[in-house]
Amino acid sequence: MANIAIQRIKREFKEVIKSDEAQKCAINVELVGDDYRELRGEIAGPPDTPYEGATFQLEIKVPETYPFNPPKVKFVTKIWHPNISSVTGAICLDILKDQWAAAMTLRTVLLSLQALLAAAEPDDPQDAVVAKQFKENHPLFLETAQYWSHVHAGVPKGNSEFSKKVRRLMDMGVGEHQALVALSSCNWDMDRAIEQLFS
Amino acid sequence: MRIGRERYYWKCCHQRKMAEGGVKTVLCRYFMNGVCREGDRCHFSHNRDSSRPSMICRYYLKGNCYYGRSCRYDHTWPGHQSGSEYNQTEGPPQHLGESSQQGPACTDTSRHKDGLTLPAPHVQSSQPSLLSQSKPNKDFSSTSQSSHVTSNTSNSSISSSSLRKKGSSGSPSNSNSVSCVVSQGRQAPQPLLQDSRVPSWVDAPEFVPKLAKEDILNSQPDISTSLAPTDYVSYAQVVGAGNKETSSTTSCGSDGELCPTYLMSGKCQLGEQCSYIHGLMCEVCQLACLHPFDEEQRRIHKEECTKLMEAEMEHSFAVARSKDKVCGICMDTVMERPLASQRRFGILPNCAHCFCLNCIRKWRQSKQFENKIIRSCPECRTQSDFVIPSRYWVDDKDKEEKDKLLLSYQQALSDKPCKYFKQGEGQCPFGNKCFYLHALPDGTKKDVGPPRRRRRFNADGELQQHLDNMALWDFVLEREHRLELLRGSIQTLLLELELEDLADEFYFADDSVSEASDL
Repeated sequence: MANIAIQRIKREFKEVIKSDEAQKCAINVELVGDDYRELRGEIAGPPDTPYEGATFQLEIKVPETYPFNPPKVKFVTKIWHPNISSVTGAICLDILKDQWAAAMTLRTVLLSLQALLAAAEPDDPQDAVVAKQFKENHPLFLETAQYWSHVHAGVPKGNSEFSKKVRRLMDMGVGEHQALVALSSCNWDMDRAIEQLFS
Repeated sequence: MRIGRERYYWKCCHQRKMAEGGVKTVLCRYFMNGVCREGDRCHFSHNRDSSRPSMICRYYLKGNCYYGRSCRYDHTWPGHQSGSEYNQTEGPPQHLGESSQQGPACTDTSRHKDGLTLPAPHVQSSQPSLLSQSKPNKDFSSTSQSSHVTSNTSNSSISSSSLRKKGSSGSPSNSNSVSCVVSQGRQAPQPLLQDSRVPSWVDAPEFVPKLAKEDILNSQPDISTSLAPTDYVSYAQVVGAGNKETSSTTSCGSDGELCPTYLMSGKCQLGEQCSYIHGLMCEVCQLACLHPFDEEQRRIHKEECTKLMEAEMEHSFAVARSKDKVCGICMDTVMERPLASQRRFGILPNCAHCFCLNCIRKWRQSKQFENKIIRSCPECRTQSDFVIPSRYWVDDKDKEEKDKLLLSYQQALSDKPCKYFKQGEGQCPFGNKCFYLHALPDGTKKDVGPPRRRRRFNADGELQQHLDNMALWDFVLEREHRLELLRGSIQTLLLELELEDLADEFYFADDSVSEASDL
């Protein structure tokens, strides 16, 4: 890796570790391997959102050309969010694409992602299904997102109705995550979910 | 400070005028022996008839010439014009301590070495090694100069060499006899000088101020015949070393030269007797380089000195404010980057964010982003059309400084021929907006008009006008950057070969484009 990339990542790594946000456990970053090419990021779900109390794992890949190109970031933890693919975890965020600036750092990227969780952009969606729900049935979106946080991101309190539905699908031999995706994308309509799964 | 001192000193040396003419009345000693190589250019007379007999044996004047009749110098009293030589057979060789030291190898011309045997105590007190070094010198002036130097305790090679330069340019030959006459002649009428231990050579014609000489010439036009050495006035007298009244009134002015030793070190062993002027201390540069009587010189010096000082201060301010600036891209402290070539700032005209030149240029050349993105500041996204390279950081608050930097950058670029214009053969897409020089081979500048516009219909059928210079700075930067990368890699190579000095030198050797605006 280019000298400048390594140096910068090392610096930014320290910056994140020492930052106030890290002290408050809002963001964190860990090394994967020892060559700084890949990092594991962690952001806490922002308060007053369905993600409150959750911790999301991020995969951060640092390109050779960093910082002239943005790092490749995606969610490892499954999340229900209009701008993040519920399947792959790919993020739709301008600064990670065409609006990148060389002066941005790991810390600013993680904080931006946190802000993205708090303020979704349904008009520029990554996951069209989620965005649709977000716009058309916002309360249900909030509940779904909260339930996803419970299932995948360690939020203690879950929705018993949602978990019952998931269990019923699982009893039919459907995997848990598959059942969750199907139900979530069908606005928790059992029949539509079954239709979608078995058609 | 040290640099400033030396610079000023060299300027002084340069300004110092050479002793002028006035010796044409003196017969050339070398000509007399038929060996003068100067020919017509010789400062001394080649006319036996009109020239005064200047070859008076000073030992004869002392009354103890060993050679007596066979002496090749004139045994005559200065006052007596006729060849009233009288035979001097008496006396053993008393004055030849020096000659006998030199032994039989001593040539005729060096027989009567002047200056060295002078009874001036300060000469004797000076370092003997230097003295003996200067002994074999054939030229009197250089001998005297070097003895002057040694006596002034100045070991600096600068002053001695500059003095020697002056001596050699001023008097190629023969001055020894003159000074001999003068000093010996002065003994009788002005014992004061001898008593106060002024060496005889201070009265050599080279050291006689022009103005004073003119006075003498005016008052005594028949100088060739009436040989009265007392009429010569030395600098020492004129500029007031020993004789304050004359100095302040008449002939000092700009003709007086400052004593280089005193100028540099603030002290001169000759003290009051020094034939040069001891300047006043300049408070700014702490050198004794203010001419006591020349107001103009003082004014000029103060002006220059202040300017120099201001420049130095500005430089140190620039260093201070650049010292801990961190590049927003590589996050390194710019001034502490490993290679000298990397320790440069790329200053954006429209915002105050700090980057090193390499980083910001690289960013602005990224291909994967829109122009709008890469041409904006990576920190604040303020768009800037170009980057100004600078060795020091210029704060955005200092509007004046930034404008100055920009101006000097554009100035520097405008001297460079545009590679697209090709002295009229090519066409520059940037038209008269181009920063580079559009000049025809004969040097006349040409206004090529505004940049060409391209018309293009976009997908919606709307007419769009594109300026060709949309990406002017991409071109400019890319050109510079490629060069830079090449240099950088060569420099790295040199560094690997542990040729650090060479590497830095190499890098900065031909860096005119990007360095042009550096402070």
